[in-house]
Amino acid sequence: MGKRALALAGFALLLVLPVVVVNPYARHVVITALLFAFAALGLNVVFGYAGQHAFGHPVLFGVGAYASAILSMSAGWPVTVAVLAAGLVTTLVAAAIGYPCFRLRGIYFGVATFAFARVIYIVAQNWIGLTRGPMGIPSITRLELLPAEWGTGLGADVQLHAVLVALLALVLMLLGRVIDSPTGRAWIAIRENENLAASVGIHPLRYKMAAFAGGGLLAGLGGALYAHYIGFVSPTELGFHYIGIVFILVIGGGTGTLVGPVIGALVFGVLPEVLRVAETARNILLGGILLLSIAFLPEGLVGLWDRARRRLRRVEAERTAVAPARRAADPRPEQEVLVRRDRSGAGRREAILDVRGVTKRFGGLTVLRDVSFTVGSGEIVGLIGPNGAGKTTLFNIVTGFLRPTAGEVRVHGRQATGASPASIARMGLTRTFQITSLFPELSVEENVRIATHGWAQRSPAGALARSRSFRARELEIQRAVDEALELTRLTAERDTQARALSYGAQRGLEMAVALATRSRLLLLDEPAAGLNLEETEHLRELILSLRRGGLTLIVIEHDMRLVMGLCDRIVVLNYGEKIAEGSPQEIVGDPQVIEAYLGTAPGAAHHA
Amino acid sequence: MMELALQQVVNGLMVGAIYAVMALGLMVILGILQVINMAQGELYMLGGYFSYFAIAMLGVDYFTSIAVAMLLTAAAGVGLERIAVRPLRGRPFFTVFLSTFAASMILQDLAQILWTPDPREIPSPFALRPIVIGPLFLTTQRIFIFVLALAIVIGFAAFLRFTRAGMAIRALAKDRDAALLMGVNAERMHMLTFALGSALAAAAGALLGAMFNVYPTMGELPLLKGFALVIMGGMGSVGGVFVSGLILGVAEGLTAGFFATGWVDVVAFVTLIVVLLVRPEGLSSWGRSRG
Repeated sequence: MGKRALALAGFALLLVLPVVVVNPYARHVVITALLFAFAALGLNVVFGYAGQHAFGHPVLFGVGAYASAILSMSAGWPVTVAVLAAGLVTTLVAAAIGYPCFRLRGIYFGVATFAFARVIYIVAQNWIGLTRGPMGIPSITRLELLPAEWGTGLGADVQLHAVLVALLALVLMLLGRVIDSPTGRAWIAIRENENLAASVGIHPLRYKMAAFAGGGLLAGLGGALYAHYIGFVSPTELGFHYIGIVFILVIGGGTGTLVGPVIGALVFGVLPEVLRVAETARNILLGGILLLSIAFLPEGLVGLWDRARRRLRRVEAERTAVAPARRAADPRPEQEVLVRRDRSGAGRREAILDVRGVTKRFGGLTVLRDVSFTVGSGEIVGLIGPNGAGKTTLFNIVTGFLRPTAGEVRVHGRQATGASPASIARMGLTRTFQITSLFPELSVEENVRIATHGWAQRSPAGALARSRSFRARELEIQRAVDEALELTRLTAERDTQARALSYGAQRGLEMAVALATRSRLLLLDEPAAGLNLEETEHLRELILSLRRGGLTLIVIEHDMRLVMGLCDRIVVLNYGEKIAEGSPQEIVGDPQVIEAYLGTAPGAAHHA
Repeated sequence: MMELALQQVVNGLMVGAIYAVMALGLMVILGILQVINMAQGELYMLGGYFSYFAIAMLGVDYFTSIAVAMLLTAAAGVGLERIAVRPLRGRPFFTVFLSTFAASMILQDLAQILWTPDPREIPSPFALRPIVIGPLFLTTQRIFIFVLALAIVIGFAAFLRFTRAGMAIRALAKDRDAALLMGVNAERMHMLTFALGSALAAAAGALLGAMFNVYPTMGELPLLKGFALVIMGGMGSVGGVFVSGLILGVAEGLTAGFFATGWVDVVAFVTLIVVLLVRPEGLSSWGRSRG
């Protein structure tokens, strides 16, 4: 049974649950769990998918509850309008919290969001005119789903149950579409390796904000419905416990999985209710469950299920004892998708990259001094120099990871100085890193697919509706991924986790990632470092074939045979200054270059 | 008006000095173990209770009770490290963070059950008659508390600077791998660090507990304020944390004097948020941000 069928069956069962569960109190517990599932799904977007430690995020559930309560009670709005408006308000609050907090990374980001959560709590306690303070807002208008005169014969709780289940199914379906789209891939990419994500054209801040605010929308809607269901909201809903509960639901269910939070909510969903009933021992209970799920369920219930299935499948495979047929990589000599686009520009020799007078100082240390050079379209330029000459620093400046102290960088004649790495990547310039940089936990194919972000159809509307143009673009992306894998001889490894690849294959995957961006200018930082002879030869062929396809390449490399055989032109850096530029023959004979590499021969100074 | 302001400044300085003691405990644990110990507030609470019980049941004087509280809480801290931190070594930063958060919830409730939520008063050994200096009213107790907090901060700085263990701790914070290669025993240092951090929290709890009261949830706010100070102080600077503590205390005192006491606690969070936003780069230097 496929995952989709399984989920559908699960939801169908959930929908008819009230048939079996007739006890009103039990029904009430289930409904509360379903409401909390929204908060869990929201947290999972920002915490599970985008990987941001948004510790304070669950407070948005309470914000939604308060917003809807205030709008319906004080402003007198109809309940449905108030709920929708509360979702919107919560999204805005989330954006207002997220924007400043995202200046920070990691745990500091998490603590900052938590500080905001505490501020919200204190505001609710003290702004008595708006929130009625610690007393809370009582007797909030209840939800009325179906007019009584329709006479469906279903109790209010059964109606609400059905609506919530349907709503959750809808949310999950839409969320699944977002996750399986450029937006979701961008979130996962940021979680796995933010720098690499930026260098393939993903704007980290934009997508982190989208995750935080989008997660806020889900939490806010859930909270708003909760307020109208329970009929009472107080600062408690903004407190520690609820943050703890929502984290339990997500972690216990399965962080970063689609259905995990819902499963977590259904399994651990009795907790909010226990919290109301158990007066004194509630923290012990919650804390204990949180501790246990961290210790014994690091991948959540979903992870447990997956592991069980894997084990089952392995047993089965062993029994049938048929070696899995390796997918043969059919060699297609002609590249189509990646390289074709660039033929038009191959003939012209306009400057694609223009580095003018770039200087970089770190404190008192000048790492680059007044370096200028240009790279024409279709060229292969080598950037060489002894260790510490400033080559990688120059790459970092060109690709936006560092700002130059002075000077400017132009790409296709457009100003690129000071632009973000993602913006520069979108100008058609992609780099690889000296130290292997991949999305290590993801499969080879996923690594490459993420890199298509810059030219994917990114509009969320298209992804949600699975529009024709969206699907067409995704198909094109699939072809491009296949082609990039073929070019780098990784087709057979497409389902392997990136970190499980051999070193040589990982460097190949980096090339595939760079290729999939469709950038016309690639900056390769020591691509041959650590490769064996055969792999180096393949790299050489690959670079040449890319150039034939119209790409431009700048290569930092210490392998001189490779550089000399490959490059049209070579720029030599030494101690941060450009000491020579010219064809390989000119460079080999240049006395300054020889001196930089070999040092001055004893006595050479006399001859000079 | 001027008198009120001055009075609030003086009160704020005293509270702020204790916040700084609290923050130092958090800071040393964060620096050495890369753990944000969310249960630090409960160690603070334990410090308050241990001091209270030492006086009530053992009949010791207030000063001895602080020492007793620091010792007992240090032991509790070592236990906490064993249960909630050490088993998760190597797991992501955030996982350990959540685990100490869970420990904090559990400890808080244990205190509720064992000792009831009712606040208790630590009997003060000092005369209640205030000392009047010009327009200022000071109690001997408050002066004592301030002096003791100052002494603890200075003692802590001296410990880090001049003792072998202090040197090992600083080495671990600066460069973990190098320190381990030099033969620093990580396990033992983690224990020592937790003991030290817990003793600092206990001192803060016993001092502030004598000024206000002792109750199970008393640690929530000092935890967050302490964390704010760790960041404001520049991650790793004892002096920076102390000065930030004084500033925060004064800001709170003035807020309480001129606005409303209900909003006092916002000051710390708003300050924290502002500091994080103004100089986030100050963070990266010490508390390495880990995924």
